[in-house]
Order: sequence, then C-alpha cells, then structure tokens
Amino acid sequence: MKRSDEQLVAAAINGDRQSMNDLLGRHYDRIYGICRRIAGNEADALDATQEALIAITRRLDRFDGRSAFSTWSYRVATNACLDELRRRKRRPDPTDDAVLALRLDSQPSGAVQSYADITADRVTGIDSIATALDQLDETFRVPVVMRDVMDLDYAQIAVELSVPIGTVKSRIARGRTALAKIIGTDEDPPDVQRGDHG
Amino acid sequence: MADETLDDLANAALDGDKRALEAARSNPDLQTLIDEHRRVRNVMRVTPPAAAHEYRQNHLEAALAVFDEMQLTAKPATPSASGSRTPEAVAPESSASGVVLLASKRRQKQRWLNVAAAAAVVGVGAIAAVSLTSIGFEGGTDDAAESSTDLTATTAQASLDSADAPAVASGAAPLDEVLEESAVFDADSERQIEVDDQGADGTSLESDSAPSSTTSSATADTTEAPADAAEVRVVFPEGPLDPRFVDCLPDFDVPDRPWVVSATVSDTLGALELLVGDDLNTLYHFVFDPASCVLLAPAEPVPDG
Repeated sequence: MKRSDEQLVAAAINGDRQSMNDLLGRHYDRIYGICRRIAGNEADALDATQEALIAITRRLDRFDGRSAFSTWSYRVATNACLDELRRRKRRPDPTDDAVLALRLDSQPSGAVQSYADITADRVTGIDSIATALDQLDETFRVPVVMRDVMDLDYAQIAVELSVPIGTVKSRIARGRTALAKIIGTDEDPPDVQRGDHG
Repeated sequence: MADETLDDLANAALDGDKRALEAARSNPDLQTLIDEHRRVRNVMRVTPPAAAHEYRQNHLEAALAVFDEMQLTAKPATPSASGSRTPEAVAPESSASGVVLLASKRRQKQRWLNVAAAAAVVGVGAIAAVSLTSIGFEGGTDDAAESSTDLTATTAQASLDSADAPAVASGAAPLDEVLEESAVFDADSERQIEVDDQGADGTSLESDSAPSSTTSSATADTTEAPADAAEVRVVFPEGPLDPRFVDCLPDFDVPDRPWVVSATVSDTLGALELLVGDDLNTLYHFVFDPASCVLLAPAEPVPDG
C-alpha cells in the first residue's frame, strides 16, 4: 500500500532511509520542474535541484505538518534555486561562441540560452513559451514563476525575494507582458530580457 | 498609455480581478490579451521535461548520503553504559501525525542542546589544561586528563550553586559521556556552543533522561561563570548556520542560508550573540536566548567595513 507523505516523513525522521528515498523520489520531478523554471537553464536547474534535495533532507525535522509536505518542500526548493541564482551572479556570464551564435540566430535581442536548453525545448513541443520564459531576466522570471507556477501570493513572494510588494506586482506585470509579447512577436520584447533590466 | 492600461487590466484579470474580467467582455482586444496571458501561464505550469535519469540518481544518492551522515550524528541517542537514556529512534509515538512530528522535533532539539552543552564544558576543560601546562604543571597523560577534569569542575562549582554540579565534578561516567558526545561534533568538523535550557531562575525544561539534565547543568556552569572566564568565544569554521539556530532567527530578515562568522555566548545575558553573513556578504547581528528563541536585541544588518 502506498504510504502518504506524512507517513514517509515521520519514518524518515526516525531514520528510515527507504522512506527518505521514497519521499524525495516522489517529489523529484516537481522539484526539478520548479528549479528549471526559476533557474532558466538546465545546468543551473540541476545544481539547484541537488541543493534543494539536500536542504529538504537536512531540514526535514523542521517540517511541522501544518502544511502539506509538497507545499513545504517546494518552498525549500524555491529558496535553493534562489541561492543558486545568487551564486551564479558572482560567476562570469557564459561567452561561448556557439551559444552566442544560437542566441543571435534565434532571437532579435540579447538572450543567453544554452545549446542544450534550446535543443531540449524544441523537442518538447512547448518550446516557444518555455524558451521565452528562459529569456526573461531572472528579476522578472522568478516572481512570474512563483506567482503563476507555484501559486504563491504577492505577499509571500515579497517575503521570499525581500522586495516590497509593489515591486513584486510591477515585476510580475512586466514579466507577463514581456512573455506575451515575445511569443506574439508582433513587436520587440520590452526591456526585461536578460541583462537589460537595469 | 492605452496599451499600459490593457496590460494592467490583463494582469489584474489573471489574478482574478472581477472588474478586469468585466471589462474584457466589452473589449475584444483586452480579452485577446487575457487569453494570451492565460495560455502562457498554462504552458508554464506544464512540468518541464524530466531531468535525465543519471542526474536523478546522482541527486537522490547525494541527498541520501547527507541523510546517512545525519543518522550517524544522531547515534549517541542510543542507550549509554548507564542505560538511563531513552533511545529516540524508536520512540513509539513518532509514527505519523503532525503533533508527533513536533514532539519529535522538540526532543531532537533538546538532545542537540545537551550535546552542545557537553562540548562547551569540554572546551573549558581543554583551555584549563593548556593553562596548567603553561604554568609548568607536569604529569602523565592520565594525570593531565584528570587535572583538566578537576579544573573544569572547579570552575563550574565556583560559579554555580546548582545541585547538579557535583555530578559533573565528581562523576567519571558523566564526563565520559561528555567526551563521547563531543567527539560526534569533531567528526563533523562542526563546533557547536549553546547555553542550556535553564533560565536564570534555574527553572528546568523537561528532559527525557537524567544524563541530559546533568549536561544541561554543566552548560550553566560555563555560561554563568565569573566575567573573566565565562565569556566563551567560538569562531565557527565557514559553513551554514546550524538549522537549530536558524529556527531562532526572524524570517523577515534572515537569508535562507546564513553563514556563521562568529558566535559568542554572553555571560551577562545568558544570550547567544551571532554574527552571520549571507551569500551576498551582508552581515547580520543577532542576540537571542537560545533556549526560548526570543530576540534580546533588534536584528540588524551590519554596515560594510
């Protein structure tokens, strides 16, 4: 019989390794999905997913059962992804010629996207929107994902990102508009692409 | 301007604003824009392609390795030689509900406090041993160990009237436990220091076992000693702040993964003073009672420089 998340959590806290494995395995795809959307590229998403799983493992005894485990774990994953983005900010941007060429071929303005990302997204059939999302600067992408993918309210997002709620609203509105316009291609996207957020 | 208004309305509609939804009924352009926004949102909600199997396996194995490490650290919870400790891993009530989880968490916190307290006592003993050596005390290994034990006890007794203090001062078994438990921290390369769960009035928090209360008293010895010896400053190795301390810090002002710069136990306040930094090298200063998690001073970022 399939055990509930709560049962797995309780067993894992008591040292049951298999329960910990089952718990993480059950939520892995969704956690990776959140990290993929927030990070905007495969490599960072994989790093963030790793960090998220470790964070969940380390903090499991802090889960008090007041919310669903899925909700709690996705919040932990979000924070791990944000950490990864902060670390990435201190690393130099990729300057690989092939990546730059692909970027220039596929988009009218400067979006940085890896070859692997582009290839993977083309295969999925939902490429245009997924790619457009990846092109958004993280300043706008992250709150949009937190709102529209994770269903967090504005106040929660403001807390997570440590910015005023008005800023959150503004960034989400601009991010959504930019996504729609990138996909619509009837005009150049506004200044919310990577490196252009000022 | 009109375009901005449409965008604003479309965003409001996406958040369920009835006024915006009403406006869309009479405005085809707005309705088109809303539909486009919804389409984008729906696609975003589709889970992206799964990570490659090899990544998945690696990630799970790494997390389980951390889990194993944590279990090893928790091993001292098994019965000691005196047989007086309740093994937490088989606590009968810790099988399911959220209430049980909270109870389990509380016991775990208590255990960590006790172990950290023991580590603090050992630290004072080590300092004393070094002091003795520096003033010319000579002796064999066993003698030196006994001397440091005695000095630890002396320091403790000089500062406290606690009835439990003699148990630390004279009992060889409790000291062995102290050494055994502190070795766990050494294995993790993670030094810990905390004050006990007892307030200045000596009120004890509940404890699962006699040895636990003994080590708690020992911590009080350390933290309430005279000013010239009582302040213990420990510089942690670079690493994430222990989750138990993160619990005490205010959510609104704490980075998700604070890194410890220094930790000081104040003898006067019985407080733990923490200087932690985040990934962006912003420093935060906290003073709080580690037993109750009550902040004793406003949390504030430390100016650069």
